[in-house]
Amino acid sequence: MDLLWTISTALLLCSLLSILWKESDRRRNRNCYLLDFVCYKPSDDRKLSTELCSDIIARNKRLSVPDYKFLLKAVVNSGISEETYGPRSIIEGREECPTHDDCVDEVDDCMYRTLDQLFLRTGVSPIDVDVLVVNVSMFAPSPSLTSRIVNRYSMREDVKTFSLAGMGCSASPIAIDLVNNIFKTRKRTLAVVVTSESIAPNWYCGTDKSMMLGNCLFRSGGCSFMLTNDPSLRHRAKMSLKCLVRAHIGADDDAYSCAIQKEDDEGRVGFHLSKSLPKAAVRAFAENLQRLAPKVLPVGELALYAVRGLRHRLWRSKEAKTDAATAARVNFKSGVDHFCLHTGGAAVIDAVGRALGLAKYDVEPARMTLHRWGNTSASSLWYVLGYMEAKKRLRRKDRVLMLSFGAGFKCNSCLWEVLRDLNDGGAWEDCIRAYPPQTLVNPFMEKFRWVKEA
Amino acid sequence: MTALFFTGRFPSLPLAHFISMFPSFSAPKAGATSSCSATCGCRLNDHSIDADKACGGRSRGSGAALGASPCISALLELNYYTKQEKLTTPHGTKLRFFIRLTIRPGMGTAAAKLNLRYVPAEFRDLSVVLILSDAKIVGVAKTSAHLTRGKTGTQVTHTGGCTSAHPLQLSQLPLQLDLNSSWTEYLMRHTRKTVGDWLVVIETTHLPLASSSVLISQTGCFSQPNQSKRKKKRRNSRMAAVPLPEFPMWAKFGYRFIVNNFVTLFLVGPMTAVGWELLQLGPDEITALWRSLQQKPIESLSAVFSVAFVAALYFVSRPRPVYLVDYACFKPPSTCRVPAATFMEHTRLINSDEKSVQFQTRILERSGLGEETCLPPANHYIPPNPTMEASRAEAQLVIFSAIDDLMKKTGLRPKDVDVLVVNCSLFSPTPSLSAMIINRYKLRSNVRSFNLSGMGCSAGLISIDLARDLLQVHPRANALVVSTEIITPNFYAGNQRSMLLPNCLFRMGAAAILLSNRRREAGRAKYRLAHVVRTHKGADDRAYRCVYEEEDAEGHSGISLSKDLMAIAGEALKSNITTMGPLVLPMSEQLLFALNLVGRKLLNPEWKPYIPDFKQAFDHFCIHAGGRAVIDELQKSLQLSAEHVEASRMTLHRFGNTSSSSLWYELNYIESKGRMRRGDRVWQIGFGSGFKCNSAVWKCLRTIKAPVDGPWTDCIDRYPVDIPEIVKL
Repeated sequence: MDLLWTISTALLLCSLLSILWKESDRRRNRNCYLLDFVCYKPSDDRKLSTELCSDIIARNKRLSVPDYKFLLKAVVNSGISEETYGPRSIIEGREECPTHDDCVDEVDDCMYRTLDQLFLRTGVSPIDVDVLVVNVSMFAPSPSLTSRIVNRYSMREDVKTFSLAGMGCSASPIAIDLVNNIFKTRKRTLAVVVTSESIAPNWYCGTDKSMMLGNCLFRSGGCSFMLTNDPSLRHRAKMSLKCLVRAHIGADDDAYSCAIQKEDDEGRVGFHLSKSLPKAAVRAFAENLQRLAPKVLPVGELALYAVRGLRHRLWRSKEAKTDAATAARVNFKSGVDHFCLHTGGAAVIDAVGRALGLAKYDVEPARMTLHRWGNTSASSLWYVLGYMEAKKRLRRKDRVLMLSFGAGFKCNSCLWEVLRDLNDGGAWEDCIRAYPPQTLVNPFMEKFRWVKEA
Repeated sequence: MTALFFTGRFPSLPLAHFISMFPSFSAPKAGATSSCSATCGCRLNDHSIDADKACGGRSRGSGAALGASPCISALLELNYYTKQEKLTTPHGTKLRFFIRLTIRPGMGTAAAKLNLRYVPAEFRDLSVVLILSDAKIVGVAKTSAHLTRGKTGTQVTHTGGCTSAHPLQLSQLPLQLDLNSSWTEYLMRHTRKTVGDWLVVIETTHLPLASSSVLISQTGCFSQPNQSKRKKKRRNSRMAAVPLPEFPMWAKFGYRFIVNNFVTLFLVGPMTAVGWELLQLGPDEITALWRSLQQKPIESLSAVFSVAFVAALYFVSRPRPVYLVDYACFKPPSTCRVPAATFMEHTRLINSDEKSVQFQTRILERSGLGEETCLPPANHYIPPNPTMEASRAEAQLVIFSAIDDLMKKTGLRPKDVDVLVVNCSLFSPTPSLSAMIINRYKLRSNVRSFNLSGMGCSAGLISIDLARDLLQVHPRANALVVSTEIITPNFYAGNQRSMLLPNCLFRMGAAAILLSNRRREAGRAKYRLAHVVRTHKGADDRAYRCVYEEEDAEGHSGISLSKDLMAIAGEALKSNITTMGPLVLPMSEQLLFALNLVGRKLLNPEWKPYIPDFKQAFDHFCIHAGGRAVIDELQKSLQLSAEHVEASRMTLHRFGNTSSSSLWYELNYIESKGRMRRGDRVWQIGFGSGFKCNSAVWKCLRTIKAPVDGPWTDCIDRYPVDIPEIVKL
């Protein structure tokens, strides 16, 4: 019977050990590290100055004088500087009928430049890439853009590629979510994500005001970044993903149709931004924060919130307040050090900043990104992050919250923890010293003053 | 094991080497020069024709596509020619390609059929094809004007049977021989070549032909040859490739049984011994044992506990199975039907270019599409009306119908969807189609939605792969996968031939699939996902370009399909099954393959590479219904019977190429025919732009009764139909 005893003990020990080993292995491989990211900086000849913008607007012969004024006003007041970039087809005056090659060239330039640099900087060979995700919302050629990259960099045959399209400005966290899920199923995986937006095929040449606005805001930009769950690369990683929350309120009709690509009355395709957008944004935001808060905030803050909420219920239940207002009373700064906000527009940044109770310092990166790069759609988050890094704000153990909004309507957020002190200039290298500038007022305000007055 | 598979030059597709001549003679491809050797008639093992599977015994006409006897074909690629000669004649420079085929004993008399595919219009008096046996000419054929006149463009077929005796000498080669009578008769008069080496010589003077592709196939009546054993032996020894020895049927079965059940058989002996010993125990001994256990209750309890614990651990730590609960395919309304006549009439009205119309007619005649395929309403306008609104309307029609159907079948509530994956290659609006579904069905706000675009016809399985990964991570989740292609915005209005092809082939369709990892779904689920293997050949330029969206000179954008498509699909499939083989093949096949490989490396490099028999690993095949040629190619390279590819052919006939959803129509066909039994394994193979080959293996969990409400319900009784090679319009 001693034999029985020995065997059973051995079995038990073995299984316990295997459980422990499995669990520790799972934990080790569960992390998602950001190895590096490279933001796209187009060549200088693609800069869109306000003057050029006004020329482009004037080129459209369909516009009446009020339309022209409206657009100029939007351009001048948008908080976008003289230095943002546009696609070549628009600068060369072919915005009405861009060819397929124009569109491909624009995306190619962004993808190849950033990826070249990314592979160079990380020293990773394209052969080692296991997962490749590209998200470009408004342009999906066939073969997909992922195949383009596989072709150019001669990647392996078993590389898992995903080409996400139509997911709007908040596609970047969606791509991260996808990669993060794959990381949990495979060990030591290396993923490359390219996030960008194609402007060339989506220029609106009609006269519908709700669609013209997109032309004024969206600019060329993109970013490539590399993620891994390989614990041996941790020391080289910049940040590690803590949590990711996705909220999609497409079930609501208003929210679904507030940012939608469609045809105007004359059959020209454009991106329609409706008046109900802010409302949808607030709802999506609240939805997201409700789920995010418990994950990122310290227990003390949550308890405080609960007490306040209870008091609110008991004494002031008659005052109907929106979800955002209740959420806003949570002090997010207790759990988060830096905020990467989607640069959807000056108003969006301000509104989100207010809702989160942020100081001017906290929204500065987003405002500056909007100023320097415009609304680069899904990649804007990374320019904001780049700004923080270039400003040497990101220190070890800091927590960075990325928050983005997109058509659908979605609000996605993710929280990162900085693993080492970061001070890379990146795309901001040559201009970071000039930021923040004295004033964000457009220098052409004077010249186009008549627009405001008229 | 992976490395063991298919390490030969191109052994996995012994029957499928496609001839595609070079665009320019001066610069042959690097791969081609490496595989060609210097002397004529040199050995090129891998082109030998495997006749094992072809003992059907009856002759088949050139027109029969289905239900005919198995056909043997050698699709040779001129990249793999053994020798290339340049001849200068008074009429200009000629190029001669030598290709070696080996026809093995047991194949009987062979008939040769030469298919010239996608031959340019100028193809007239230019090519001479010679078939030589052991450096002796056994057949000569020259394309003559009457064969190509008027029908130039897609396919010219010569058929010949080789039965008579006088081998010609090379010097007697009548190059200028004009055959007014058919090639068949000529070969009948001059040859009686059956078994051994064949040397195919292809001559061309014409450069356009060189850029086109030529397919040589051998089809035939394969009665057992009336030969003495000695003769056979002599032939064998003369043959370049040493074939594998033939074994009788019972030996094969015995071998498979022993190898595949090795562990069971191995354990039978000891288990019987133990059982016998236990039976021998008397009651006293049993009581004694019981007492001794009772004396040490803690030990015995802990032993039982630890065994149970380990077992539980094993069951828990297994990867979560992913079940396919059910799926639904969209059945297009009959109002959207596009019979060939309608299609051609519309084409004529839309397109003023007579040549394009003729080309489309020819494609449609040979496409294998039936009279019931459907195009979306916007494409019925003259000219089509590809607006965004119309595209959205089509998307809503096909996707919502499929999902509604699925929800009705499975009782799925929208609130229960945790993961949503949508793939649609060519239409990607913002907000995405996934957002559209969320909006329509009011899905939860924390649903994980992904919208894949531009990933081609094989994207259906990419979605499945993504859904599987997500289900591995999130416990107790339901994943809704929607595969579709929206046709409306992709009508090509230009005149470039390669881009007109999709207009003729692509038709509307969609499928909605419910995957789940909930254990309680296991009871009613139809299938369990066993494997998904993805292959992306994008690194190869030729593969990357072969399905390509571009603009023609006039600025019409469309999808261009290259002529190399078949060859590339073959290569992609080879890469895919290199990974898939070790996962699915039974031990007996793997062992044979390994032994063959070792044998070739160590003993005799002349041995023929062993082709694993995939029919032993799968019961049903769903090959992407991309077009008739794709199905033909796969049938040949995987040595499948007509019944195995029936689902694909019939889906192509009934629904057209519905892109990523075609695999589900095929699966539904098999179910509708009542062929799906419990334990059956299904292999879905998708091909798509990029170039990708993705495949998935499903295991059937319960015998499926023929569905009463599916896309096939009203027409399943009419299928399978005979699909002639050409339907004259």
